[in-house]
Amino acid sequence: MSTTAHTTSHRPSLRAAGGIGADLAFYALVWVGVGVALLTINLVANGVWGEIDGSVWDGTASIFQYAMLGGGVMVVAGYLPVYLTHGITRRDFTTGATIALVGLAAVAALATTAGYLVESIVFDVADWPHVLTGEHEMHIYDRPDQYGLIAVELFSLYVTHAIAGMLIVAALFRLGWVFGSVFFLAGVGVAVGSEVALASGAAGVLVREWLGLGPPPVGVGLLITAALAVAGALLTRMLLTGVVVETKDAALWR
Amino acid sequence: MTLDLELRGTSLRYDDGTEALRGIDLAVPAGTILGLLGRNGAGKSSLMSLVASLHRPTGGQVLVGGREPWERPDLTAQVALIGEAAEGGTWKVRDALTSAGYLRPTWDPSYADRLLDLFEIPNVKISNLSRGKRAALACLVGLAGRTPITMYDEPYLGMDAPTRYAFYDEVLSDYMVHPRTVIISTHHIDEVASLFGQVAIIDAGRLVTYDDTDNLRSRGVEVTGPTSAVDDFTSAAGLRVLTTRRLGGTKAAVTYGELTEAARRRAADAGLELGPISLQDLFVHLSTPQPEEAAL
Amino acid sequence: MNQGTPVATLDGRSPIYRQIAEQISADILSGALEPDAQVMSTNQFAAHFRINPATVAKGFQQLVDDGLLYKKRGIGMFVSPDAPQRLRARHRERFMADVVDPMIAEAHLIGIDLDDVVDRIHRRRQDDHR
Repeated sequence: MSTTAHTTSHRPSLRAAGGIGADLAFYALVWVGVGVALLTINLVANGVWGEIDGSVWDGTASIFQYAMLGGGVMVVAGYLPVYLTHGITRRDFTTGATIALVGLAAVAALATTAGYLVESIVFDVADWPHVLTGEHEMHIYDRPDQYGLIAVELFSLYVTHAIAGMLIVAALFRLGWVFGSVFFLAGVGVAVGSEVALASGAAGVLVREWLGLGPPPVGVGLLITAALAVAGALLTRMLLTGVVVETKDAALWR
Repeated sequence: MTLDLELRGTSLRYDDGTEALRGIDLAVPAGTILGLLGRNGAGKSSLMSLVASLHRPTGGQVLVGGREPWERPDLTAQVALIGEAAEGGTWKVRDALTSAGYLRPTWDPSYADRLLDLFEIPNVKISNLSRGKRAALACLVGLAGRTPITMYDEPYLGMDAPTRYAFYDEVLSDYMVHPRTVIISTHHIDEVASLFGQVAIIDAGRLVTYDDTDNLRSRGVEVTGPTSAVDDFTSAAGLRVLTTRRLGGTKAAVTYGELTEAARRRAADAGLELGPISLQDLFVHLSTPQPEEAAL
Repeated sequence: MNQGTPVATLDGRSPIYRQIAEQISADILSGALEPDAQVMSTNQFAAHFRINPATVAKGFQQLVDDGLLYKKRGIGMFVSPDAPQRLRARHRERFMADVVDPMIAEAHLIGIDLDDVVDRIHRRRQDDHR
């Protein structure tokens, strides 16, 4: 059996991305199920017992940001020891994990955007007004049919939240609980910062209201979010490339 | 493909100040089966974790194929460390093998399948396997990975004797067809000593001895006879006495050192009996007993 | 292919390569391994008894050095045609030093008259002839 041919076509970071991506696909499916359930329950409950005066999906959709944060945490905490044990370097792991999470963010953004589309069809049939109630949401879009802007905002938020999750765990692994918790704030900063920049999510809206700011200009918001994502990713990579693993924590499987 | 391994003045000091390894110099040529022996806490696991790049040396160097493996993907892909089997979460046996095959360029899937049959491991959730089967699965990954440097850090916990022997047989028979460097750390020394081409004994972070197995073995001699005769002989022959047993006027001294033919004849003339000692016994006597909370 | 009786258990105490050499020598002496018979290859031997092949090779090499085995390149290891005679001659040399002399020393130690020993040897020789 020739092993050299296999070696030259073998890109470890892409292998890591593929392996993690496959598991994340399952994670994504679970959340699609959650999303469908939530939307259905919300529409039915409000439609039957309450009053529908605007989009219900808009409020629900923001929980997926926190699912992405959880994804970032899960990927580093659960997979770093396994990938190191299988001979993948820390740098390749970080690259692969980031690629997989960005991929997940794209898929999740599309799926969540589709939720708005589904909602608009249902609202059309039920003759409900498909508008943004804007009670606790601001966003960079102001109508629920601006699918392009919606998808962009969601994708950006999902990426920053995933990176925030990775950053928090990377800090704990590298620095332990005491010093790592300082970087916990950095991670939170990336997530919340992007929410503030794009005026989305509970934290983002609260901070903007407290600061007395209205909806953000699209370009500036996205630029700040991108900067936070890059900074977070670089910090994560820096932290992870120095992580040591005790033999007892090495694992060939999850 | 095979890789040389070298440790040059390698030290490892943990964050809490523990000195796990103190200046180890060790050269393991490609294709060696090395027995790595040491008491608990002697530094065997630390040494192997450095070779596997789980940890980084705080002093000296670890060289795989002449280069430091830390964060070098072409080298880390060729080194595997198989330790105590993790309990496992959601993955099934097949998932673990698929993953290993996906990440290790040298993986042999047909060999992995043969080993699944040999060790009788069913394709179930890994967390549902018995401890012994999980350990066998871990060893399977080490075998089928065909990594040029494969290290086994006592993964045998829970494996019954027949499974351990099946594993030793596989290590050896695969080694003869696909040579690689195998490092085995174990407490069941006499079970597997015949596999070792070389033996390294680590004690309190230092390398006590590193030699060809038979050379090491031949340096262990038990001298039995009248007490005074034994004492005279061991000091005259310049042997290091590791331990002694007394019964009445007879003494049995476990010694370590080179014995010339002339010395052997003198022993016979003096009415002394010279007997060999097993590698396990030699190891026990060459290692210091655990210190009681001694300050390092 | 006559491969000789397998080594029952390998003593974990003395150098393995020497045990291998001794076992094969014993097989040659007993006739279990005949002159010009092929011996198991180092790998077969190693796999069968679970020994490192380098150690087996060392044992075989000692036998080659002693003229008891010879190698046919590409085919394997064979017993030398004069191996049994060589072994017997070697054992004969060692018999006096390793067996007879110690026996005499032991007899002195215990206080047995050597004449008694000689008598016993004569009597046994007569029994053998009958």
